[in-house]
Amino acid sequence: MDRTRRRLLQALAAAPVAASGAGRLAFAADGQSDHTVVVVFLRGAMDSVGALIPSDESTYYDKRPGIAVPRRGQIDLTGQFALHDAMRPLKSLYEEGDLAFVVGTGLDDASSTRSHFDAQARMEGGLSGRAAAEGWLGRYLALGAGGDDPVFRGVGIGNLSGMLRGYDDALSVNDLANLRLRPPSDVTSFELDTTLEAMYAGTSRSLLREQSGRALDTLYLSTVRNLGYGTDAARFGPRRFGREMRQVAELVQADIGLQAATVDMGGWDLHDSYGRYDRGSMQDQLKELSEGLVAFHETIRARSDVTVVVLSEFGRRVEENSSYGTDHGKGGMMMVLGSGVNGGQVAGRWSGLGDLADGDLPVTTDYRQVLSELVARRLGGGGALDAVFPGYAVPAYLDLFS
Amino acid sequence: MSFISAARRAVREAPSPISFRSALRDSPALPDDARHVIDRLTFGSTKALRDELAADGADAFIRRQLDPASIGDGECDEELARFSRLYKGGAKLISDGDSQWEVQNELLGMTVVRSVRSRRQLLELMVDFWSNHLSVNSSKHQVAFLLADDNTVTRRLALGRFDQLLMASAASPSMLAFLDNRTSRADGVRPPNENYARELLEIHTLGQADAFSEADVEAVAHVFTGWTTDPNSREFVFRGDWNRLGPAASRETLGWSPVAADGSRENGTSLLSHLARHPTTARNLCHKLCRHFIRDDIGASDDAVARVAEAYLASDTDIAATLATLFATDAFRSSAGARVRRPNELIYAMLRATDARMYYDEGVQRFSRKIREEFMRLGMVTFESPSPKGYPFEDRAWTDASSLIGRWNLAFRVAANRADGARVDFGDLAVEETTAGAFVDEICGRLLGTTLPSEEREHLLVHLGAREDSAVDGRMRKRVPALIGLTLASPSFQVR
Repeated sequence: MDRTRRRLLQALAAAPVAASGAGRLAFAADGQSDHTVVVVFLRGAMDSVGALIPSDESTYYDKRPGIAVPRRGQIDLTGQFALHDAMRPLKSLYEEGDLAFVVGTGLDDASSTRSHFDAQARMEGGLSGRAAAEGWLGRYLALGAGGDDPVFRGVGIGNLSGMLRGYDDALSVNDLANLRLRPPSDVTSFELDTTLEAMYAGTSRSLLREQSGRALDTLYLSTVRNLGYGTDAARFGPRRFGREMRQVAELVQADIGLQAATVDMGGWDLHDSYGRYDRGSMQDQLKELSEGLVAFHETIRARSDVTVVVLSEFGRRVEENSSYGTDHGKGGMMMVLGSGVNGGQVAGRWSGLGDLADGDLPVTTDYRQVLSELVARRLGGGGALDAVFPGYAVPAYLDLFS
Repeated sequence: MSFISAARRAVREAPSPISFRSALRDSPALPDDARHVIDRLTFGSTKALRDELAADGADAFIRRQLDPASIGDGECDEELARFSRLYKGGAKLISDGDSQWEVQNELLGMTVVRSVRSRRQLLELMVDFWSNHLSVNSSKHQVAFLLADDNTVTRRLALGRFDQLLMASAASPSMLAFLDNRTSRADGVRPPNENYARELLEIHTLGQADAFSEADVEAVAHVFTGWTTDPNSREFVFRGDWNRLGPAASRETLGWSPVAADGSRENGTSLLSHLARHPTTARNLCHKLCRHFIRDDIGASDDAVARVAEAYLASDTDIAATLATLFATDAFRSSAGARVRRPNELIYAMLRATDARMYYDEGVQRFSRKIREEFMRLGMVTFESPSPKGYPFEDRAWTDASSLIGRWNLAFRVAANRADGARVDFGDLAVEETTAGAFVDEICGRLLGTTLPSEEREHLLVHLGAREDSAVDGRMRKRVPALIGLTLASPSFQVR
């Protein structure tokens, strides 16, 4: 980065952060809102039927003699559906209208696959029948990309998600507190980054040269804004998903131009060791997920410009397997959370467990139907839907967002 | 107290057997092909390696590394003996109630020691490659306990034959636990568990989702029903009463047909043998090896990939023979510096360049826990890939802004002797050179055995506020840790 740009960034970064939004670095391009979307990808295929339980259908209990959640472990939502007890913290969000579920979601049936990687790649790419070189968030961000993009515009917590691919300036963040130089004694970090900047600007290795400018910008901004120390760590707890959501919350609160963040949560591929409703892996996963979502929502709930979407590559078979777990299925569910969400509803068409396709809940809502509405109504990308989800014509909106 | 005097005092108080002396002037210049071979076949250059290459040349070195049994490794083995609990076996670890977390840490710690210390560098590099290709996540329940033994098997076969390695993986208690096959049975009531069958086809062998169908997965899952572990010994057993071929009995699966009736282990071994020799497997595996050893963007249809795949099939899946062919290709020879070091490779290279020793003063568990911190910061902990696909090895996956910052900070921690789990003895840093240019070269030379390219080197001089022939003064000498850090953080050190 040249010196002029660094000074500009420095001036912007030094501006006070106020609740009013003064000092906010607004970089959203034409045709985009400065809304922030946080996409939580549940890797490994979450068992949606065991989370949002079709409580009144006997088939659920019949097909899962070993692992069905008994009624005493369910929190009633709609009479038809109940939440797994481990998701109890989400109930008030639902009742307050900030959280909605969409059932029967996934890759549309004709193209569906039971491979994690294949399905994840398609979903990351925003396509159905095939993977893509770019991710749907990457394409969305690339629409408004320019040479002076804020470094935290598209952020993958942990490793870079495939959803951000195609936006070359996406940044991965493990821990914001690590995004500053810690020099040996007798040297200032300014002296070091000046030398690093010059060494990397001169290198013939283009990948390193390109990325170093972003790295130096990142160092600058994270140091000036004191990133990594701005949220209440206790609220988010010690578990990984909570810690990662805390990073996102801090970036949102710092108002430094975050438009898209991705968080991965693994551990859902419970072919065995699924456990009981009150102990074991499934309830543990749901608890970690719910606590992280609630902590995030509590932190940023005063803002109307943040939406969280939760998705997974597919659902799981309704029938339990011989290991007291579940194998790969089709229809799953999505969640949308935020103060601009038309919450308190279970959207999408539920086909019922009596009408399974080859043992699976069918996909009745293409996952892109939900994401298209998000892009159009929340991210200001209504005019560019075809660029974000090529070849997909959204049939109608589910009215998940006002 | 200055860094240098602190380091000197530390040396006086606790003399180390290792000293940081590899002055440029003591080493003959290495030809470029020898440097390239060091960069690609090992986890990083050391003085001892450079001397070995200078004496014998690259070809002899490659031959020796492909035959690890020919290389004595006593010093490393001695150090590994510290990790005594990992030798007691999975069943005993479980029955003794050892902590999974501690075993997980020590597995990583032991791997660091091997990667940094072993003279069988290519073997360790391949163990890393296979551990990633046949990935199991040691943080899954009980997997760490079982992986301690299985990793030994991987090491025995890492330069052997792939069909045997695949067989060992399929029957390894850690894989059977990780991908759940140990609970998979065809009992006619519930369908078998398909997890292992799918990853076997999609990751371990054929490598592409369009090379097989759902019906193939179902058939393969049936073939492997009953491949499980004994609940007491934790060792592999085949339960014939759990095994039914189901749909596999009456169809051809990926060109393979059953060789025995229900309840036979032979069907599984025969299918693995068939898959290991499948032309799609050969292409997939050899493409991956070429991406790893040549460049990450080499095409699947590149000549080099085709030649390596031919060698793989012609040698009956012999890995050493396959690699020998790969190392002889022009694509390999002309690819110096084309790969970016992945985080584990970078950590090992820094520890090797600085001749660091592991810090065991508070025991191997404490060492392992500390060194884990370094891997965590760079987002890659060996044996803990969240995906069965292993960690990505595309350069781009490890070079975004925060990865670079992580790399730079690691370099400065090592230079300041603050790296977690390791100690560096910079020993006698009283560089005698009297001009700034020679001073900078001497420091880089001790780390790299060579100088930095001029476009990087000139900025070290600028950092010192010096010209080529400026006299070295006390202020510059205080900059030695910064110069070491900048050399390790340089673009050149990030690639291999």
